[in-house]
Amino acid sequence: MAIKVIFVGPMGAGKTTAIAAISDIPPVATEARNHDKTMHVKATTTVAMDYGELSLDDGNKLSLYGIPGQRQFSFIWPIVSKGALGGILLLDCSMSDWAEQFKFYIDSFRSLANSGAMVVGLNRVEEDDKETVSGVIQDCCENLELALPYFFMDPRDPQDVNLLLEALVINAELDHILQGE
Amino acid sequence: MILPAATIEKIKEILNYSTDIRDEIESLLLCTSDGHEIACASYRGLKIEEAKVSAMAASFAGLSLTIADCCNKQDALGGIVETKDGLIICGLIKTPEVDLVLLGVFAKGVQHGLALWNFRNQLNKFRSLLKS
Ligand SMILES: Nc1nc2c(ncn2[C@@H]2O[C@H](COP(=O)(O)OP(=O)(O)OP(=O)(O)O)[C@@H](O)[C@H]2O)c(=O)[nH]1
Ligand SMILES: [Mg+2]
Repeated sequence: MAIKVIFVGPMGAGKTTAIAAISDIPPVATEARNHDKTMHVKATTTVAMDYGELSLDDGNKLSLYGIPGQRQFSFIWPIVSKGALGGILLLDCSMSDWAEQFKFYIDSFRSLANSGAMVVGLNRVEEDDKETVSGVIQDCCENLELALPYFFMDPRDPQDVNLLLEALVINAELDHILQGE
Repeated sequence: MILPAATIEKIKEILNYSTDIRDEIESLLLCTSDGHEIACASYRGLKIEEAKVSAMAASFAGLSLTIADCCNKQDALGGIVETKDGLIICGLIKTPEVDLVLLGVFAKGVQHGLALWNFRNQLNKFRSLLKS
């Protein structure tokens, strides 16, 4: 069986990039031209979903799904995330509203966060800002009564993305689910 | 603004004067390929939620392209949803400046061939307008 993991987070956080960085198969994407450069300067944006696959050392497989981050596509989030056993929340911390986005996405995918099946990837954090960003995340988690593992990472770096997935597999006890098969 | 105001006015004119298709089409909606609504007209008293349907049309068009690609078909033109109450057709309009999606909601009982023919005529009207 493949375990379904979803990549969530706002536009430009790096969901499509992260899935492409680690997928064993050519990733399936649904990119369209980005017409709203005030939201993000990148050329394209996901409009339906991303899909990739990753085989684990023990022979099991993770199926990796990415949501479109723009809010107009929130209708598709429950469709794409149906049956997911784990979530990776990516955030671009160079955006001024990243902490609000964090709370919004935790709220939108609360059941994964509540069951310990969510890991946070913090992208574009300058070395000097890491302490401040950590403080903000810890405060947010305390207010939300959650203990979420978080990592500074670059979605373009397969090692970084793999680290997030390893943390997710351990934290959400996905390995137990796989062994229980 | 994604398109100049004058172009949007012309798009609305085409939508509002599409009297020749009123019998067959319930709604025509034009949005960007990333789901921002541009203009919409409903002809038979049945309205659609424009912002929501714009995002859905963009997702549908995006998936159509991806499915075509995964099935070794290049350059998808759009997609069709068949329902007992009529067809829904979406088509892509690509220009150097913008990529748009046109969605047509057809009335119950309209023949598929006629619906497609009408829809392509509408697509071509917008293509010519955007080229000029
Ligand atoms: N320079 C730099 N670029 C980065 C970094 N992290 C991500 N990027 C770039 O940021 C962009 C992220 O875009 P996507 O992967 O499309 O983002 P997404 O989360 O899928 O966004 P939507 O699909 O629009 O919701 C890519 O162009 C990455 O190459 C970073 O640390 N430094
Ligand atoms: Mg994406």
